[in-house]
Amino acid sequence: MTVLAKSAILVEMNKPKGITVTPLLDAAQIGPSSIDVRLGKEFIIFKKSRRQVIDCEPQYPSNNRNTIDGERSSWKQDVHEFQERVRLDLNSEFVLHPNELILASTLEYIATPEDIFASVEGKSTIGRLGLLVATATAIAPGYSGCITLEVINEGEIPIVVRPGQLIAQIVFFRTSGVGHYEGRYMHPIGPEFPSL
Amino acid sequence: MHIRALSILQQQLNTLFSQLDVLHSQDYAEDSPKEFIENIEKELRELSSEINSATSSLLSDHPDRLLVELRTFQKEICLISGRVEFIRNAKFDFLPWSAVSMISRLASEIAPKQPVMVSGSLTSATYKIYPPSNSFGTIAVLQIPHLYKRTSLLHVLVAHELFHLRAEEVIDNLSGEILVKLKKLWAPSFIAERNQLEEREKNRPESDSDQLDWVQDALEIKTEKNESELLEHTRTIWKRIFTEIYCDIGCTYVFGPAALFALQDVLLLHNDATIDAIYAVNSIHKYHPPVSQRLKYMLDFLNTNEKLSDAENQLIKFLQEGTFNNYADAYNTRINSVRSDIQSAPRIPSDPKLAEILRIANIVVEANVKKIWEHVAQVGKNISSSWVGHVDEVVFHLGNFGNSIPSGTIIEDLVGIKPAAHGAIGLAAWIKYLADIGECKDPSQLPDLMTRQQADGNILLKSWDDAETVRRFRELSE
Repeated sequence: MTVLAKSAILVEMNKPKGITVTPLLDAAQIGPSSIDVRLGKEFIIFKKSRRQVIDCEPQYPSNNRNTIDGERSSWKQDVHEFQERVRLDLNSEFVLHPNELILASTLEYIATPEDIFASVEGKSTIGRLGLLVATATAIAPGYSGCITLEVINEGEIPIVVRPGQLIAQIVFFRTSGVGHYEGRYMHPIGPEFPSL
Repeated sequence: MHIRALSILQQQLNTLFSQLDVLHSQDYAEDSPKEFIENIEKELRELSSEINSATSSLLSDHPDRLLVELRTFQKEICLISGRVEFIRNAKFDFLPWSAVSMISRLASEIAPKQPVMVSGSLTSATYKIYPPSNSFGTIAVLQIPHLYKRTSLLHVLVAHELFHLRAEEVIDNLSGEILVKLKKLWAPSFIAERNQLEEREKNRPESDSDQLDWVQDALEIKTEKNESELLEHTRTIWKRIFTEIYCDIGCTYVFGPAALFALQDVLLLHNDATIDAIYAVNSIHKYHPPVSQRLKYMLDFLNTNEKLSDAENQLIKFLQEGTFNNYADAYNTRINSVRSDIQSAPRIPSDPKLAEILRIANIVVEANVKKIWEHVAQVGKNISSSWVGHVDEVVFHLGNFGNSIPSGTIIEDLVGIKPAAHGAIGLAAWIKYLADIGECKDPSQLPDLMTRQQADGNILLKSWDDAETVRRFRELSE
């Protein structure tokens, strides 16, 4: 895999089915070998719940389709019990306390062609404050949507974040073959609740 | 005093010139604002030179006349300032890109010879089209209320406004004929009143004091002057009703049932002022026919026009073949709700004179409704769009896909979706589009295709949101 430099990124962005990053509020977001992305306006926050545990890979009692659908629906309800979606205006403040995790997303809608893989990386300045922004960083070829960011304050003091601020960067790689993402998180326009 | 007034005018002119300079550098989704700006700049330069020449010729000898002239110039500046506001609201970030391209396409089909500039309004809640006039130049301005940018059936409401640009053609052709008809319909009433006047004349009292009462009493009775006024008012009301019905039928011709639902929704919150109220404030030219009457004419046309009945059958067929019967049911329920709205009691004016104006105007509308059908069909020959044509917009229906959300509102959450009539049209349009481009050969693929439509709808919703984000970002950056 080859990392795309700025000139190659621009060539890909100008192709009809090339890289899409929109809205790109400032041309300076395109760096020497990456594109800086901004924090979106929607967040999924974690609520206090009486639920003691959530199974991240529930086992279904039978292969019956209706039963599985029912279980999935019940699992989604469980998730909604401790996760909640909130929406803020551009530039309004969100305080992230030490050890607090939120799901956010990039403001930009990103689409990659079938021969481009991308990876979300934190911004070093933000990282040095103790803010980690991405734990599942791979963007498969053929993916399109806003990227969900798992934002956590690993530092000792609360950190203020604002929708619209530069939060991460995306590095693009040309793959040796082609692929097409067909996962369950296709075309999101904000952070996505976990899905089975 | 004159010098101060002159300096105020000069300041206002400079402000407008500098605003136009800024507007020159803005991004617009179409070219017409640039042309609009150039026209205004030209007018401002002319106005500026008129002010200078009036000042040099009148300042020393006729200062009072100069002040009168300056007041007239001030009025002109105010008018121009209103037009500058239209351009400010026509900026790219005030209008979503999908709406602008859709409107340009519709405008080029409905009124091909007329350049239309799309503008928004932050304060008005009504759709409006300003035809070319002295204050607007050669360009028509379509104003979309900012509040309703996300209306799910926006294209229908836009088409209604665009048809206003064609309504005059049919009205001009009919005007002579209409006046004759109106006179004929008023004649019995006028004759009866004239007889009554003649009868009174015969009984004129002899004494002066009795005559005074008699004359005052007579003022209440119509005179010939009142007859012409009544005729003119009836013609105005006829024109108002006829124009609205024309535009309603026009957008029904293009969009079929979608037009019916969009108008039903938007008129739900419309200020349905009675003719009494309009007459009382002397705004008879603002009269709009009641919702039930408008829906009746639209539904009649939908049921009678062969092209539209075929389209409706096709819509139901698509939904049934694709096993979206629940959407077909939602569609039928909605059509029944339109029928029920049509049955709602008509408003009868409390003033018998106004009731008669309305009755006569409506008789003439009814007698000429076929002329509307003919003209709309003639205009429609150039229109390639159809109720299934606006797929760019149709994907946006998904935002309101599962819910019976009135136009002008959006849905933030798609949890718990259920079929809605708007959704039925959107879905049928989507299926037809996919069939046309060869992506839906087998109806059994449809559930998967619905997921795809949902995805495309999300992207479009985001694009609308992004338009706001870009605008806000620029504000914050300034």
